[in-house]
Amino acid sequence: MSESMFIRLFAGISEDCFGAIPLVPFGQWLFPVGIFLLVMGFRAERNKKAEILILYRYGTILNWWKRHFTKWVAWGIYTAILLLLDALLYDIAVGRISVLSVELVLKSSVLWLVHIISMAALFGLLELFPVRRFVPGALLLLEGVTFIIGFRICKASHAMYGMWGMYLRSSWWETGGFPVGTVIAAEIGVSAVSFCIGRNYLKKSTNII
Amino acid sequence: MEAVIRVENVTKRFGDVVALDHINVRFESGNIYGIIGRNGSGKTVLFKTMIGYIKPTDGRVVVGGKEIGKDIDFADNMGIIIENPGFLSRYTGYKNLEYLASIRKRIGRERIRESMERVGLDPDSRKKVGKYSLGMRQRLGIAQAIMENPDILILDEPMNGLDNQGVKDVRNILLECKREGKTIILASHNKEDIAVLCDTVYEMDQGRFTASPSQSGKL
Repeated sequence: MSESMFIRLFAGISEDCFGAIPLVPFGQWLFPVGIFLLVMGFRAERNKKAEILILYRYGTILNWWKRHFTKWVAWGIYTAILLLLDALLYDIAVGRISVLSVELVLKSSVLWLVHIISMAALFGLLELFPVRRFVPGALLLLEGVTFIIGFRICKASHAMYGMWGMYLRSSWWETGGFPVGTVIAAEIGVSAVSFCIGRNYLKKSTNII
Repeated sequence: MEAVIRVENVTKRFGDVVALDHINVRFESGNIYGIIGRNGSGKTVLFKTMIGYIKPTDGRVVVGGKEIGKDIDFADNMGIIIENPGFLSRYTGYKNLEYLASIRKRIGRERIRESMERVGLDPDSRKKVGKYSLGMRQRLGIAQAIMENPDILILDEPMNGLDNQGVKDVRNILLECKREGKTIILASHNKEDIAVLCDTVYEMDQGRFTASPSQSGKL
């Protein structure tokens, strides 16, 4: 089962909270997250220069922020789906698709997508600030550090952001884990709070561009 | 005459640096105003303040009777070029303008094509903006600024990178816009552009106007 690329990249890390951090599975989990952040960073850089001609055409900063934020989330979903499909296509190409159940694919994909949506929302928010160049690195660090904390401190693991996208750490998996409903609500909350912070920041900001 | 833009006692500080220092100026319709000054003198900050991209530390900017940052965030009757215009490099010039026009939804395809032709660009060209020369980008910048027929044009170095023919074309477009009653404010390093085009010229240094405005030809 573990030979499936889809499981390696998107199901998460199943090991318990004892012993050394499983570096290979950890790296495999961070790999698609890293690609996602790289693509988002590239898009951010490519579109930044055009914003000066775009922003004022929206008439109000709030109109622009709604469009901008929605765009980030939409790009996030699009990129995340592409990554999922790539892994599935790889598994089909090498004949390993048969080890995947529909349930596993769907549940892993849902958790991964919701996690990526919240990460895209955070990306859109942080990109407003002068630290925008560091955003992909900062989010990768957030994902990695919160996973390590959750791995080391079992009691805190359900509250750790870096765990939330992992099917094998969720209550949907046979060994149990974080409550899926609560975590999905929390991820939606992260996205909503990111939107609100961005809106308030822009209202108060003295230098938009 | 009622001023289209009023900049009233505007000061802008970035930390300890005073980028604009008690600027007072009025811009009226049917005129071309030139703002000259060396790099870092405050021209671009003044332009961004008038657009609404930078909020003044003190003072206010009123466009068409509405205060920027209070009554409105951005004026809706403006066309701008600030610094080197940035476009989406993977799209053609036409696609870029179509995208920009889709935000306000005020003009159709014909008007976009017309604007591109007016600045000497082929709207049917398949060339991506990423392959454009600096001059072509600048022409596209002018096209996006004028395409929605705005009452006010704020142009920071609009002749940047243009060849002689390009400069001539843009000068003619700006003079045409002036005849249509638009207010044009442009910054340029080129004294000839300023002398040929501008009715009134302000010189900036260290965030201030250095002297009373001069009339065209007195530079």
